[in-house]
Amino acid sequence: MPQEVIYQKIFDNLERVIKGQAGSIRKLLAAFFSGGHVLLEDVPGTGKTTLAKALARSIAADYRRIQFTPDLLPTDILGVSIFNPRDQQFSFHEGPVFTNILLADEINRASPRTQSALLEAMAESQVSIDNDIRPLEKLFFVIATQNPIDYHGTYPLPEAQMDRFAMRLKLGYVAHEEEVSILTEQNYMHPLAAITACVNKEDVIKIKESISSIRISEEIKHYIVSIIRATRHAEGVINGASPRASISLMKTTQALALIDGMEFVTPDHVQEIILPVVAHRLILDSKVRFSGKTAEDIIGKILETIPVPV
Amino acid sequence: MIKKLLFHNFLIVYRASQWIRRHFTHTGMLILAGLVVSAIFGLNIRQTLSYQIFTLLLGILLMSCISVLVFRGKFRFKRVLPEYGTVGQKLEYRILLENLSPKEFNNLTLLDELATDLPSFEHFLKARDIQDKRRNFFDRIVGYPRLVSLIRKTRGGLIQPGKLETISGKDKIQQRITLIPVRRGYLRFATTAIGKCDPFGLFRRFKKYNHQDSLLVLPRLYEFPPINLAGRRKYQHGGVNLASSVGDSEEFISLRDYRPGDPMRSIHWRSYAKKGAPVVREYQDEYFSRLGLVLDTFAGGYTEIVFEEAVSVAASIAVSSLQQDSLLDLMFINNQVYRFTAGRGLAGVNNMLEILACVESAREENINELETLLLQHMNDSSGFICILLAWDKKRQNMIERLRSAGIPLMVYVISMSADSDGFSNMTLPDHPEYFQVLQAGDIEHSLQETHGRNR
Amino acid sequence: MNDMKTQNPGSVLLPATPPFLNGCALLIWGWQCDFILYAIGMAVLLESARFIHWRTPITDKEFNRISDLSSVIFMITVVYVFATRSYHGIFTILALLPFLLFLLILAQTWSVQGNIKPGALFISMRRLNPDEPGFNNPGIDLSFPYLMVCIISASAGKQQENLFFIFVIILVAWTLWALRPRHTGKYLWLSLLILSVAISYAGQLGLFRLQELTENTFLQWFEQYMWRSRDPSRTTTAIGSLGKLKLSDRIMVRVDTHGEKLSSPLYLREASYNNYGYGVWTNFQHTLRLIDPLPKGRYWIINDQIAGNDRISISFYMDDQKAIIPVPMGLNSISKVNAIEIEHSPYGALSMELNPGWVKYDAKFNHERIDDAPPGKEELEIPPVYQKELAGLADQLGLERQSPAQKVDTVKKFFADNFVYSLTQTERYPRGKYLSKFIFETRKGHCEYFATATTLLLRAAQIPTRYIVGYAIDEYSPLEGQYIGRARHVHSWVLAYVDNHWQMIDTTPSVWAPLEAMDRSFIEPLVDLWSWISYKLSTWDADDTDSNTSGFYYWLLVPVLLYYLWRMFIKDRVQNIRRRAKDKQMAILLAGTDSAFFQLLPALEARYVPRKPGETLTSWLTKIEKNIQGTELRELLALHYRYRFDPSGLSKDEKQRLEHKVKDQLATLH
Repeated sequence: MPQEVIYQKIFDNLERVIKGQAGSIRKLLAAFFSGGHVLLEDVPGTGKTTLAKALARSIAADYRRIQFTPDLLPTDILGVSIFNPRDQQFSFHEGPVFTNILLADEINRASPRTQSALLEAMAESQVSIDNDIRPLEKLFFVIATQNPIDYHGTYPLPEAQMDRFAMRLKLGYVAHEEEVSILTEQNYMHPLAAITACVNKEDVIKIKESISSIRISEEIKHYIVSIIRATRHAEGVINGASPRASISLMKTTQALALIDGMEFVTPDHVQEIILPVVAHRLILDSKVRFSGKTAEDIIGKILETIPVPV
Repeated sequence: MIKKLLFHNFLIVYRASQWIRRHFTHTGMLILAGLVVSAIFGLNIRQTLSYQIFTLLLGILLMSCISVLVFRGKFRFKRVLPEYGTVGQKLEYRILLENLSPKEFNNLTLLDELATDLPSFEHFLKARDIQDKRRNFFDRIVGYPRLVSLIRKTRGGLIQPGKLETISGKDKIQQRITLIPVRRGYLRFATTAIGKCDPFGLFRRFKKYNHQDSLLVLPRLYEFPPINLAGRRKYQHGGVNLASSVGDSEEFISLRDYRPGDPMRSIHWRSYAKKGAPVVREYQDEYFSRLGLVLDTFAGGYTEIVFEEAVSVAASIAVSSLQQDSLLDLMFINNQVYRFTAGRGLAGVNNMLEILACVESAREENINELETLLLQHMNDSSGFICILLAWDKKRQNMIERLRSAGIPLMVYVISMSADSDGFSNMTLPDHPEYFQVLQAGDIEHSLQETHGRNR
Repeated sequence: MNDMKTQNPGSVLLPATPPFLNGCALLIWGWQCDFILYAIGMAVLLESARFIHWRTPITDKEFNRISDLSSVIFMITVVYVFATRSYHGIFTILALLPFLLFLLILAQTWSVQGNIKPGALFISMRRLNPDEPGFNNPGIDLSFPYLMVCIISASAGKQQENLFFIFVIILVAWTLWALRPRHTGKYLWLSLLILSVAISYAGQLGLFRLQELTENTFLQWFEQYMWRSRDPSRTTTAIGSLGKLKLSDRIMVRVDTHGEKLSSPLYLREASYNNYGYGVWTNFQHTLRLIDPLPKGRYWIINDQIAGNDRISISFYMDDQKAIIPVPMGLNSISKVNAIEIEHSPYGALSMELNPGWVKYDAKFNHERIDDAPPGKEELEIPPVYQKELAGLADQLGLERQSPAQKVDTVKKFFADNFVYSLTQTERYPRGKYLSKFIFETRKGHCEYFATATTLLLRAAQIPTRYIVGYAIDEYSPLEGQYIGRARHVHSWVLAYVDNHWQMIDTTPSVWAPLEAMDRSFIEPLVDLWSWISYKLSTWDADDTDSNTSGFYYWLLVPVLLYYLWRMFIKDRVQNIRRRAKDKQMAILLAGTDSAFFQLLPALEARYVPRKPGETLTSWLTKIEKNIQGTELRELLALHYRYRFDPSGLSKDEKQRLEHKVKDQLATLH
């Protein structure tokens, strides 16, 4: 099956379940294909869990969900070697991280120690417990969620750790009409129940591998790097985006190009995806934070000033 | 008498200069200057040819003014403001502008204005300005720059006009406006004016629209080093409250034998293997430090400047402390006692800053109330950070009494005057490093000095 | 000149002037004010910066110093010019302005930044706290203000009014065109300009009328009270003025007697009058006759009948180009002065035409022989109102029976015995009564009273007399080594025609000089010192015939210019701005920059909306698509994108298709 078709099928499936979020779904799938992980920052009840489940079902992949609580331990995520007194042996019980699609719900409610356990696993694609190294699945995609409002008893992800996520998306509330149609649909049954697999895992893995064959010209690479470098000495930024950000940006733009059926990256792709990919990696000066300036504003300004290749 | 006359003159001058700056572009001001100079030299027609230049420039200016006499257009505005601003920090917001008429407009200027009330004579007399120190002698005596400063402070901020190149008929565009807040508290937006420029680019004519909004400005923030009070980490009684929203805390202290009913997850398997019998990890409630941030609000005879700086210092300390893992209680008195707690999973820095943005000085002088409040809470707190407006006898005694009660204290005194000699005797005898004098208008410099000294 | 513009991103106030505008303004100024050579040099220095891409970095502190230096030069110039030219100096300053500000604009043009911080110009802005909220101080580009200065300065010349007006219109129109806002229609702009010029012309005509009106009303007033130049046909005395007569200590005349001491006051005459009425002395018979200098130049013989035994050098401050100068009575010749014209009246007045300021001239005279024109009937006329009284007085003194010489002595004695010197007049009398009151009642007054009374009394005794106004030089200044005459040394005396020759009579009590001196202010010595310095300064270049040369400024400028030239050529300081821009570009391999689309882009931008630097072609195209028909542009864009951003590029066919499509689009646009 050609790649655009695969994408379109997944997209349509997801759209059936989540209404009015076409842009976010497109970006999420771009991150998915590029091999990065996504942080969804959103108020409760906007369909984050539904989205993750729908994606897993669409590609017939394994799906696990971890609800983060303050007393969650690293072993609850990674797994634990349990001692069986009868055999006098340790046997490893895999944690939920050994799956294809992992929904880490409310990641900011767990202690920093537990958060880093998951983040390490995401970065390394492997888990080491008791001096054993166990690799994770080839197709491994984490959707972590964070609730921006509820501060009581939370440990917001430190900005240094945000860098591990390729993208941060905000779903938000939908438009009036869409919300009405949600009511209509869910009157009968949850649309999730109707979702079936439309592609299989191997197709997806193939797409992921073909990302690197999407061509990207020198000029666009320079453009990407110029923007990333500009974030490092922008006004009000203590720490700008790292080279990891440049790589992420390149990969996600390649994914976007692939989704659009193109064989090369255009500057429009860069401008479309740059905010979700870079904004969460900037660490702002506290003074600037309290002047209502956001990382998105800063990046928007940079986009306006750096001449885009034409 | 003379001062009052001067004051009214200043107001006239101020209004005139504002009018000129608003209605003339830079090119226009250049032409205006040329007009004035050529008028001076051209007085005697026989002596120079300046009169030719004068009449030409006058003709040009007249045509400019006439050509913008008619400005027909209807517009609608909407402001998109951020949550807060901070004093002294540039803030950007957007104005969504809609052109309701089918006509296209070019060379527009967008002027967003804050409510400006011109100060009264009494207010002007009482007002003091920190920047005065840097002004030259003449400016200080005459006082015009002080008046301008005062008007700016009352207004609350400086807004830069926005330039719109072109807006087509029935079109919506978005314009970014930069604002620098000059004082804390609420800024009130009053009007939005849109100005059309003449074809020469000299003179603007404005259409004003009422357009009200408000924005909260947080106090100025300084860089404060982390405050390390030699206080004990005390057991915080709020454990139950916290645990209900936070869950069991997880300070791991020791291992103990398994007891029936312990959850499976807390079994420590390694020790089980070694021991042969289940062993369980034990947790205990957390300890963390809880500091009191005490703001002296009894301004009394002391000027506004000192109080404003004290509020800024409190805000800066709040920001820096809440970045570390501790609770902070903001305490101050203004007709009643206020105590607000933030940190560690409770309300965040933002809320504390909002409160500080609106705090006002107390009318009556009663420092004893503050003392009572502190003594009340001494058992809960690991220590107090006191921000005082002066170091008079009353306050010295209060600090003495608190210290003799054994409470760890860090004292900051905000002062107007420059001489540090007067402060050498202001110190806590046995712990000079817990006492610091900060100079209003130069807080960062004072901080750096002591920081360097303490190294 | 785009790379020039990106060099000063900070100057948002006013941009840099368009090419050659400043140069043209300088040339016009040079033409008008006779500085054309200097103007050419300055114009070259400024405009050559457009072609030469070397610059030197100049810090804010250095700009401050340049500005201070310019201010100092400015102040010295102002002082010098006002000291030597008084009120007229202001127009000289006007003409010199482009010189005085040249340093600053030169520094700005050749600096890397291309603009100056306001702190350099206004000292009050230097000390401001950089943290105080305010939008970051943009640099100021001085080129447009300097242009204005040049245009206004040029008006100080006075050549060819109509041509100048046309040039001014051109310069101002050029300026307005350069600064016009975007989207201003060409025709609207032009018609507004034409209307402005029309109004301006009408205004000028109005101004001429206004000036005429003003002059007619105020001229008399001006002349009488403002200007000190002596009018040989009329002088108004202070007879009848109330209050204390106070004349300033200002030094008006300097007399160098070449070592000789004056035993008695030296009288320098300015003018002679013969007709009196109500406080005003007039002389309607006075005519000035031109005197030709000797062929060797700088020597005018006034009266060759008089032997010039006594010689003095007089320095006098001329207010105006042409003025009456004080000369001793019994004048033989005037020499050693570069006067343009000298005119002489038989009544003794001498008028000289020369550039205003301090002038110095030698006068040869014989103080014993006064060779004025013989008296006519005016010299015996007494105003009717006084005739009776004076006749009575003459009778009383028994003048009828005396010989002319005796009459003079009697009158002298009469005044000496009975009269007292006083500067104050306190009582108010009806007009015309003051003199009578002086003679018969109060018996005290100042020199004008004495001289007038003496003149009329002698006439009553049938002796023809004239009233003389001038200076009585008596005060010696040890500082200067010569005698000085102050404004309060202005004196009146009498010439009486006795025994067929003119004789000088002064009946004012000789205590008058010390009395006047008693009023001197305590800062007089300082003021005198200052007066001497400015006098010295102005006579320094007294040998120059054309005082338009202000040569010594350039001596100040030259070392400064040398210093900066030296700085610029230290290699490690100088930066070649052009090269750096190129380096940056070379680093990136640009593919597809020859795409045909780039020919279409400017046309589309001009037609619809220009593209912002951060806007991609796609989003910009979406914006303007509402106004365009057809989807051709989208196809075009896709091809162009492939050409530019696909490393595989376009095939030959596709490239040709792109070019064809671009051609079609361009055709439809035009």
